[in-house]
Amino acid sequence: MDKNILVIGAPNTGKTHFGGQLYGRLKSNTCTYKLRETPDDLSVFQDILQKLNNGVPGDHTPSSINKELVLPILSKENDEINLVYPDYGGEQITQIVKSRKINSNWQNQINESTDWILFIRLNLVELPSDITNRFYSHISRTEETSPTDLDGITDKSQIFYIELMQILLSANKSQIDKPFLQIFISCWDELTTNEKPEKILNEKMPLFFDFIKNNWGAHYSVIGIAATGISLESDNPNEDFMLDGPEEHGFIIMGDGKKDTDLTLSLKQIINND
Amino acid sequence: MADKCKYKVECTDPKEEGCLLGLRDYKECPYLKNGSEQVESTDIIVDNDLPIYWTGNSFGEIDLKSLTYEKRPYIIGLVGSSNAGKTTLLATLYMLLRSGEKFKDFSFVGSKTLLGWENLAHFLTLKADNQTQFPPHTSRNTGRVPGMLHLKLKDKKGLIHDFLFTDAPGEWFQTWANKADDENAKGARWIDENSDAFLLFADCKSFSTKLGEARLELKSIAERLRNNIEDRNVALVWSISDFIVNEKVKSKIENSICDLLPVVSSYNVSVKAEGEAKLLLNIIELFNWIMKAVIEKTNKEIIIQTKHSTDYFFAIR
Repeated sequence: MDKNILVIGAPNTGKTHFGGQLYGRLKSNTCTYKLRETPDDLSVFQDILQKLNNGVPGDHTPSSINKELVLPILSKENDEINLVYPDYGGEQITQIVKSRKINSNWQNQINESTDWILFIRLNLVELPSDITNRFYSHISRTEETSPTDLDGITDKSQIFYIELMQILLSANKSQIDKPFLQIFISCWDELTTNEKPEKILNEKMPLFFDFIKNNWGAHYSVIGIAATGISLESDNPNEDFMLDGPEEHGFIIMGDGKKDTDLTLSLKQIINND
Repeated sequence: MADKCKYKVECTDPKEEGCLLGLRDYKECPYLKNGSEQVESTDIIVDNDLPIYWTGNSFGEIDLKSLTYEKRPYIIGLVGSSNAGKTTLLATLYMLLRSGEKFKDFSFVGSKTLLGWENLAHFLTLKADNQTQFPPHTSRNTGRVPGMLHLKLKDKKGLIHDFLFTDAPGEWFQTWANKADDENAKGARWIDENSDAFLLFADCKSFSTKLGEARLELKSIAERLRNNIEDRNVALVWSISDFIVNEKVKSKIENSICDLLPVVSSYNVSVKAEGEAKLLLNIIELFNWIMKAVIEKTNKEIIIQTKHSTDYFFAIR
């Protein structure tokens, strides 16, 4: 089966780290899914693999980068899956919402994709404090202020994600009306929670969660991802990473809340949905 | 001839119809060409990017087309004097939904005016200095059609509906109450003609501080609304109800309004509900009620009458 993944992720949501760690697990031959053969072109993840092996985080992916990795995967049942996984600068996503335009590269990706992966770094998403969750006695009227100092919708807000998904859905001219949506709550280790991924998504992004349920029905999945398992620092290389190798680090939290170190399981729902 | 944009060939009159690029002020359009200038073919900008057909800002008349292609939207008109709290009510509804409050009978499917909603909420959202402010006075001179905020909702039967809520300056209604065909009342007329239901605002602050004037204003608007009301639902909204109005006064006002209009429900709302979340949640209930009422009214079951006849003439058709 051929799987073209549309990866949707704003800057700093962990797309590149996940890609690098996923590749590491696939080639380790110890996980649920493995590589049938080594891909021809590994340049997409060359930098991240090097950095992780040195115990430091990867560089910020430049906004203009658009690359993809073709992964020939084999399942335990000997099914062959060709998975195309792209990597790109997350600013392209924020630019789509800001400019309200989809360039031809993105149009092609959307139309050719079979499944969508959405990265949300929940720790960076904030629910604004307003009069519905804080009561204030002093509310004053102003005649002069106009909304010129409005920030617009930033990627710290669930509203950004709703608008982003609305835009991508409207641009989808492919055969598939609603491709399967896999939501990755990335950098899960930052959250310090024992809740199930869906529950915490609903807590922090309630309107977005309703939007997803009503637009995708049952055709979606939410899991937690901690690609490196812990935070890495550029100026302080992690000894464990250098000793064990990055393949020994990182975990996912499945829909039922169970933790697993097999990062390839993150693809399970996508591969099983056909 | 009107100034128009050379980027969008469909742009004919941005001053009246709004900017197709979504700019709040069409004069900021970088492609604006003076009305008397010819638009040359070399001026037309070719762009392979796929533009998104909605701007995210509040809807004007031109945006309505994007919804009416799919299915007729329901329009709820918010009617009342200046400072009666119409815009604040909308902003608060949005913030309640944003923070996870749910309608009893509907769930959120989407909105084409998220930026418009955020603009409203912007002023009632806490800033670093712990100050909140009411949204600025909705400007009067924004054309013949009010700004409208959009919600796409799914009901308990799984059916999807588009709702538009009008956000118009109070002066429109005050002018319209005084003189129905006034040039400056065309927006109010539009709301009167096109709404499926109304929220009529009685501002408790005005009623408690200048009763006579407030009563007159409310009644004159209700009297104007009465002419074309037919069987459209009206909910009477006692806004800013942290100001207390004598129950007898309230009752009298309600009765006189009910004589004019088919007011089917009345709600007390306030956004300054210190320790009294009920008045805030009344807002959710209010909107839930009016939306449900509108759907039920327009979706009356079609009853097909079956005639049973013993006349053999009808036996074979």
